[in-house]
Amino acid sequence: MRVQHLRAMAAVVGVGKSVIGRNLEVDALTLMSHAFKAALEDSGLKKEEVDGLIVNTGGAECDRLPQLLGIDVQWSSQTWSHGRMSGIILEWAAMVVHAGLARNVLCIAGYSSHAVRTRTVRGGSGEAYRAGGGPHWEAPEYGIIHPGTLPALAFQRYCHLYGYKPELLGAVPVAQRKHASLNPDAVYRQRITLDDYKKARFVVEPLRLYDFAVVNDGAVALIVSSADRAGACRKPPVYLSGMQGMQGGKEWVIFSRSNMGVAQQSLSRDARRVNRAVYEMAGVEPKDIDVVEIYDSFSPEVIFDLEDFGFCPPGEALGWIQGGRIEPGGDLPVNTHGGHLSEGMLGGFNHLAEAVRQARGECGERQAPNARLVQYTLGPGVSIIFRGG
Amino acid sequence: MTNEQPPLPSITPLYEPYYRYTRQHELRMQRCRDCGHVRYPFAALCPVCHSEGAEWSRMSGRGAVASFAICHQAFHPWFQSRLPYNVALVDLEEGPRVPTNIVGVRNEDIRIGMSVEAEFEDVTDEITLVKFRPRGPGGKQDNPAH
Ligand SMILES: [Zn+2]
Repeated sequence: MRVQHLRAMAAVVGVGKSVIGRNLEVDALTLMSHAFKAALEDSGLKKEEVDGLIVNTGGAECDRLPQLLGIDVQWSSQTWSHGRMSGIILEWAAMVVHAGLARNVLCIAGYSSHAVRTRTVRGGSGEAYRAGGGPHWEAPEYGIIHPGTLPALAFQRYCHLYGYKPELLGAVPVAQRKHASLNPDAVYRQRITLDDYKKARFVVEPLRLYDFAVVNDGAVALIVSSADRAGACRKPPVYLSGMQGMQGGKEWVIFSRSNMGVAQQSLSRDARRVNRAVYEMAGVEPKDIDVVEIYDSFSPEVIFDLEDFGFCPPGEALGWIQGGRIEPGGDLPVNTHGGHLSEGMLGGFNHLAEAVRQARGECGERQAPNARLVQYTLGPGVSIIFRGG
Repeated sequence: MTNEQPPLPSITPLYEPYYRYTRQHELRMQRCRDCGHVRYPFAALCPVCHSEGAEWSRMSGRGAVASFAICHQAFHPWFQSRLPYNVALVDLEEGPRVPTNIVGVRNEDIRIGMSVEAEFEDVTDEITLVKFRPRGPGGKQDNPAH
């Protein structure tokens, strides 16, 4: 692998997770400490070698965390705690090590269910009450409060446009629970059937209980190094082979297929965004991808991403996933850890950790055979193609 | 719980005219003085031509349901006694797609594409919300009581 080539400029060399659980009696900082220690051990690096840090705002500021973790960093930053920042954090780390601003960058996030609950249940922190709508276009005065309302609206429109019965969506949580049943870390491991799905209560109809992410505590840490150093680490490096950034625009709204569900203006309604940059950088096509880890706070995101990232044509994903295609042993395993729906909600950081581990081939029972190219996707366009060594 | 207030929007300077007009039961939005584009969400610049000039132009109030969903769980105490309630996106004739509720129709009879017209609901002295009810023979015949 030529390190000077952009598609191999950086690699993940260490991955660590804390325990994941509901209402754990520990704070996010403790969980982050455990995740860091595990990632460090996984990488074979000494803590003195970690000189960069990017953290989400889930529990510590980027100036406090180095004190607690016992690291001296020469480059650090932090982002908002929204999960859509997680892939961006990793891309950012890759650029930092490539630019030589740091050698080994710790990317870390911690979540406590208390924080999640206050943010979503009451539309807390005033976020949902911003003029013009909250970060997910909440409009509390009309009862659009839970972030899941937006994917519900987008999915209803999707089913209308393409003539689907909404209950077909059950194939997503059923498949992911099957993956989670093979993952000892997952919060929910009991398999469910389509019948269980259909019997579950509606939360925001047409979405049912199983279409929503788990609310839980946990932390994940990943260490990113420049490709020329990565080879010296304990495990084979997993390269960030293709990257694509977060997109935005006049018609862009989160939790929808691009431009489809909840556009706010009439400029290019129902137009389709083309996600090509990540494939062009990696030099591969969607058909070459072995496993996809899709950011899934709500089941419809899986449907929308499969189309937006070219795994199947627009309007076909809901039919395409039926019959086990995204389940363990299927043509395209999706969310092999169980995703937010079953393993737990860790802001997509658990998807990134899983992608690295799948590309290393170390996932035990849930390992997809011969997984070398593993892709992470998020509705707003963030995507990383991981290439195993 | 009985004294629970409904969640209300904050009125920022950009949104003040919108709520001033809804109090008078008029639906107005920013229309670009230069290219005519109806600006929503409200903003200082036209996203099409970057003109800063806009007038608060009266909307017809007519539109169509772009999508809807039914909330079966309350995420704010105000909605607890109102379950299940609908939320919707309506495409105004003039272009914008707005969040709202559909009134005057049973939840199970709401359809995407349904023609609707604006209706004003005075929530407080300051805040009047714009909601939509089915329009035309279908809607009115189906729901004579409303
Ligand atoms: Zn203009």
